[in-house]
Amino acid sequence: MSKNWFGELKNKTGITVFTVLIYFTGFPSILKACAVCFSGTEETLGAFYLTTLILIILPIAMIVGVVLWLYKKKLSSLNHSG
Amino acid sequence: MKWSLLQHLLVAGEVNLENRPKRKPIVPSGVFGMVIFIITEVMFFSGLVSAYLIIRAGLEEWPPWGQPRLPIESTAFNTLLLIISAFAVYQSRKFLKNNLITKASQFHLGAILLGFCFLVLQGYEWVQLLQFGMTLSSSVYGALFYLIIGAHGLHVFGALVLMTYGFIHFKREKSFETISSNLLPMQILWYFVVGIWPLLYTLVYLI
Repeated sequence: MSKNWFGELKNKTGITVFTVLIYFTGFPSILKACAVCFSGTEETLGAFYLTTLILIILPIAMIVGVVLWLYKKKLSSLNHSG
Repeated sequence: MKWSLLQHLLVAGEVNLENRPKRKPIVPSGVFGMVIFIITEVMFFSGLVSAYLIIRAGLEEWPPWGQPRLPIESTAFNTLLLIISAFAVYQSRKFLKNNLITKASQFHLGAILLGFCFLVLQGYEWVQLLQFGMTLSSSVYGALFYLIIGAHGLHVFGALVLMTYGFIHFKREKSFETISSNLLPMQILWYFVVGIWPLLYTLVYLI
């Protein structure tokens, strides 16, 4: 390792931070694109947001529903036995 | 505290497992498995519907020019058949609870036949559409139609196979409790297949 290893490390860290900053500030428009956003109209974007929201909420809602259903079943079985 | 826990564990090790009271699951395993399966199916159809909505929103003309219009009336009749089949399954379950196995099996068979009619009519509709030039590769309209409606048709077919297997159980089993517990997962699947169809019909055919 050279004597000036601290300076090298600082340089490497600086380059990494700079790259990450550029990545997150310079490419958000590219990151926003998706395989089905082909037309770029307001309707497509609206449909994209709506379906994304549904696809996020639906599995969580179903899992919560199943857990509640099992919990209620457990409570009712405890009531019957006790 | 630690000693009592150790004692407890040592005693637990001596307990004969066969003499332990049997634990009854709060939900039958078949039913729970089917519920998990249906959750995955809901996500599968949600993905298809999402793709359909996004692609459709991006196109100015729907259906695209030169593509045939879908038969709304005959499919409405077909939808009715499917809904009646769900009522037949419901009625079959009701008879089964009252220990009327013969009547229950008749309604179960009725549901199978109605489901079969649905598939045959769908197949006839597809043949007509193919003759009019609407294929999987003719346009994005055809591709989405055959993908979504075909996926549902495959599910109907799968559920029908299971329902037929269930119908054989009516003949084999004597205890109505066994029949009831064996049939419930397939009946849940049938309710799902029927329940999702009006949504697909509205999205693909009506709107």
